[in-house]
Amino acid sequence: MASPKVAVVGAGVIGLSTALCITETCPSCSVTVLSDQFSPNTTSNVAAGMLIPHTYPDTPIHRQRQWFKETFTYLFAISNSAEASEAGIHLVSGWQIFKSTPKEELPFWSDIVLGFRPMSEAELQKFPRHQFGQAFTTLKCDCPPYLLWLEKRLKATGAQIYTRKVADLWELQSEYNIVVNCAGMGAQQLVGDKQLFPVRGQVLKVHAPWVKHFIRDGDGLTYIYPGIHRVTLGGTREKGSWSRSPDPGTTRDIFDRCCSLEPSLQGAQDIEVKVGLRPSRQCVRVQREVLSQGGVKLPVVHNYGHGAGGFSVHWGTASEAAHLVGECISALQGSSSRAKL
Amino acid sequence: MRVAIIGAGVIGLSSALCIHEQFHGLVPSLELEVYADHFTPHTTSDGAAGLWQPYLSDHGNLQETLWNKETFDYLLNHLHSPAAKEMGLYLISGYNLFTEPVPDPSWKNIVLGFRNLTPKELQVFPGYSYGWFNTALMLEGRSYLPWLTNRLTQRGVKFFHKKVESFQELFSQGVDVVLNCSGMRAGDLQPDPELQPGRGQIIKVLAPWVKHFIITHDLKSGIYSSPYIIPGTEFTVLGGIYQHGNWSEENSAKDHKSIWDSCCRLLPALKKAKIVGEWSDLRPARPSVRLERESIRLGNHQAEVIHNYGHGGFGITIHWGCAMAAARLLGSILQEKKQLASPPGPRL
Repeated sequence: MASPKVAVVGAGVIGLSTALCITETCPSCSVTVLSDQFSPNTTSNVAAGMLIPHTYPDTPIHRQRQWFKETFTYLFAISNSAEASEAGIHLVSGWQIFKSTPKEELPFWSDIVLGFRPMSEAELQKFPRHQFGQAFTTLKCDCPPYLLWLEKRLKATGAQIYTRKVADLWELQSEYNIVVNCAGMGAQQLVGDKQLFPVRGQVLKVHAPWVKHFIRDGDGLTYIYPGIHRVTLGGTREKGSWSRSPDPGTTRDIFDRCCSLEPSLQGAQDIEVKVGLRPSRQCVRVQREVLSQGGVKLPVVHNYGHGAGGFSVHWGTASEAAHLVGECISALQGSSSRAKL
Repeated sequence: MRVAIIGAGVIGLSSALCIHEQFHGLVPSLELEVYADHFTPHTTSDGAAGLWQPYLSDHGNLQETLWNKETFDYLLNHLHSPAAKEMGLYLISGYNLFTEPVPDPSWKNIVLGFRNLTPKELQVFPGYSYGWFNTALMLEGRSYLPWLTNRLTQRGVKFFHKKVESFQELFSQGVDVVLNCSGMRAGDLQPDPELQPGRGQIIKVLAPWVKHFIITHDLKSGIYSSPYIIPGTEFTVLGGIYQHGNWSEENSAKDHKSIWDSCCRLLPALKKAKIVGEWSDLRPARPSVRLERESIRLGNHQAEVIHNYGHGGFGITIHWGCAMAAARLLGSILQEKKQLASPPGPRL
């Protein structure tokens, strides 16, 4: 197969980074990204893009660690380069605080972020209702810049990007050799995965340029993440909710919770409310599959179900998915050479 | 009891506020007046980035270290007050970078979370092999000075836009005590060969992705003569110029290039940052801060001057400690003049 044609469904952080990885690991492939939504209308645009991993209950920890480490290393290099501001990648320091000391004082990623250490008594005085905390420096991927930068790099490789709603993976079989499913929440309908469920998140994006640190409550519900131009205030984790409309009561509640951690936010301006449905799963589905219908086969690589941790592991799962695409190509070349005999 | 403050930078205005807070209730006849030729946004304090950080070494001057600490603690206590945003006060973390190991600074236990940099962090800064990380405070002059001015105006303090030519000039008008907070131009009021300009130049850029201060040090060339990057609320300050004895307040193209090239080497993404301004001014440098009383004989009575100048590049860092010390000196004067039964106790 001279030039395998690969279709990547989805143009959020997972789709775009996976497509880019495929162009790098398989230069002979022709890669096309298909999606009905692009920045600024993807779930990735709602997220703050903080590199603080979410723990998936059913993915082995060493695998999650590997994904996070690869992602952090890759983004760290960009943040130190001249492209950092265009790519929207920057370092940010701050605190993760707990109302009571957590069972696990050292998360699996503590040695991957920078300067991780417990907060001192003096530092904890800023948070009178919290007993324990961790200080560290990590990275943030701001969207839209990061998604636009991925698109730009993709186009530079010759990859094509089209607006198209894919209702069924089979509709791609006639034009493409391999399909990569990065449809996020859309995978529920696209491949009928009942293990995928939404976890609704509402956030506020505000103008508060004096906020230079992130603050995250260890319960994951309240957080303040300063981006390049806006600070993301969160949030909610509403399992099973499909509502994409902002709820005003929730807005008030998020604002109050964040102001109790950072009182100066009372002076925040230009409050914008956004909602995203985290495409959640007990484990991220990075997996090869060969679909079969009436004697016709369609190799598919799945890369979805990142829930609350998409940005944190995106490059690691993209690499793994690209590797699986490579396996699909080998399998196709093996069977086509067998067919020639 | 007329007290005149000469100078409306951070030192003059904060001294005025400190004095009014402490004495207005105890000395009913107290009248405060501020005289200055420059007001915000045209003072030296307005151009400073506003980072709280003393020099690397206090050269055994423990008094100054104490004043720095008093200032930090005072500001930290205001961090959660509703006034913080208006004051231009917020927490900021960042990096101090060196090409060799150095002893810990006098302020390591004043700031929050002081620690050495890890090898991975040093990878961000090629060419630097040692450094510190800590959380400190920003107090932006462009916000703090107007805030101080508003507080003083509310309290009935009067402002006069004029260049005072001599202490005599004020005493002959009936002023009882003069607070000399004239910064770089203190020498015009009373010659002081120890006060010298430490000329600085900065470039203001838009680089809102930078969330940390980054201060490099070249132990051979001295403080602030190595690149530094300090992110504010509206723009980021790029600097690295300290020229002792240079009185020029004009921007120099050579210094611009030096700042730009060295800061872009430190943070390559700055090459894409938009330049929105440039500024030069003179740090009022002195081997130590002049904070003392001076009695001046005028005819048959004694006039009192309290000097509070020579804060170099650490005026914002030390200002409140000095304001309190100046207030204590005024307390002694008021006591001597029988305006006060006994000096007020330490400020809680």
